[in-house]
Amino acid sequence: MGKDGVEMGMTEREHIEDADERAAWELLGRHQSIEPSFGFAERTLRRLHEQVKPVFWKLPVFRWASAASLCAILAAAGWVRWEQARQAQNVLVYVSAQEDRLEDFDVVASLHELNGGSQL
Amino acid sequence: MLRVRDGDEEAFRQLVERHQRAVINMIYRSIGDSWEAEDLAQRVFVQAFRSAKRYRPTAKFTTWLFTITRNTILNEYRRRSRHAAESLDAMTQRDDGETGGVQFADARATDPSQEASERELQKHIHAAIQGLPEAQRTAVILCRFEGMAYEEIAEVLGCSVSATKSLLHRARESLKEKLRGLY
Repeated sequence: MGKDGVEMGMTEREHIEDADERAAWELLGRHQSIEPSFGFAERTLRRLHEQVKPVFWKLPVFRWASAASLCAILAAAGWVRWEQARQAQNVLVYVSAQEDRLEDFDVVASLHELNGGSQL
Repeated sequence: MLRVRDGDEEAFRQLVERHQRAVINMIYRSIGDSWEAEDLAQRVFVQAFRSAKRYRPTAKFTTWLFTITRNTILNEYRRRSRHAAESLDAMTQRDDGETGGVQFADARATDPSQEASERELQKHIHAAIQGLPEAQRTAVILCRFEGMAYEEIAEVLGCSVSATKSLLHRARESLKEKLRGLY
């Protein structure tokens, strides 16, 4: 019997005919075992909890989907804002053009009046 | 195991407590690193819990568990071969005769000279086991330390019974040469 308490079974003993081989095999049984450290089972359970139930928002697919959705929302918001600004700008340009035309009309009318014309 | 398959954590804890020593020691004897043995053993049990649904009661539980253990060890070998330099550095730091806080099962030697010669003997046996090719080493560990039958070892290794016997025969011859002068 080895120091570690590993005893060789009878079937093995019968199979090893060479005395040296048998002695080496016996000696092998003296290889010391190690003991699990205190709380090994608890740590294993804790590890199991950390790994077995992955939180759904930590799944790679979900992470990619949320990142893509966020990008889409930002892009849409940007586009809406840009479109609003463009329309506001268009209105300003239109109003300004209208004002210019009215002004031009007034100038032409005044000039015509000065010239004493009657065509307008 | 059937309770574990239904997600019973208390049953899983009992299962870990019952088999932790065997799994840790199989890994320790395979990779020769007491520090990593526990970490890998935890991975084995987590994997066993995850794969519990695939377990068929027709197979002996220890055979199934040791198959997972062997696969985990093989993955560790692959990981180490990818990061060879890194692992060697870590192992050199750890293997300076220290056990890294891991307790050995037996500490009866009290006389310093006896203790030194015992440590030397342990080193030689450890080196002899480490020097075996992976399949031979696994066969030896399962046969010599776990007392498994040839049929069960064959199942773990995924080979025939005659191939297992051949592996063990070659391993014994190799160990005889490596341990010559110590017995």
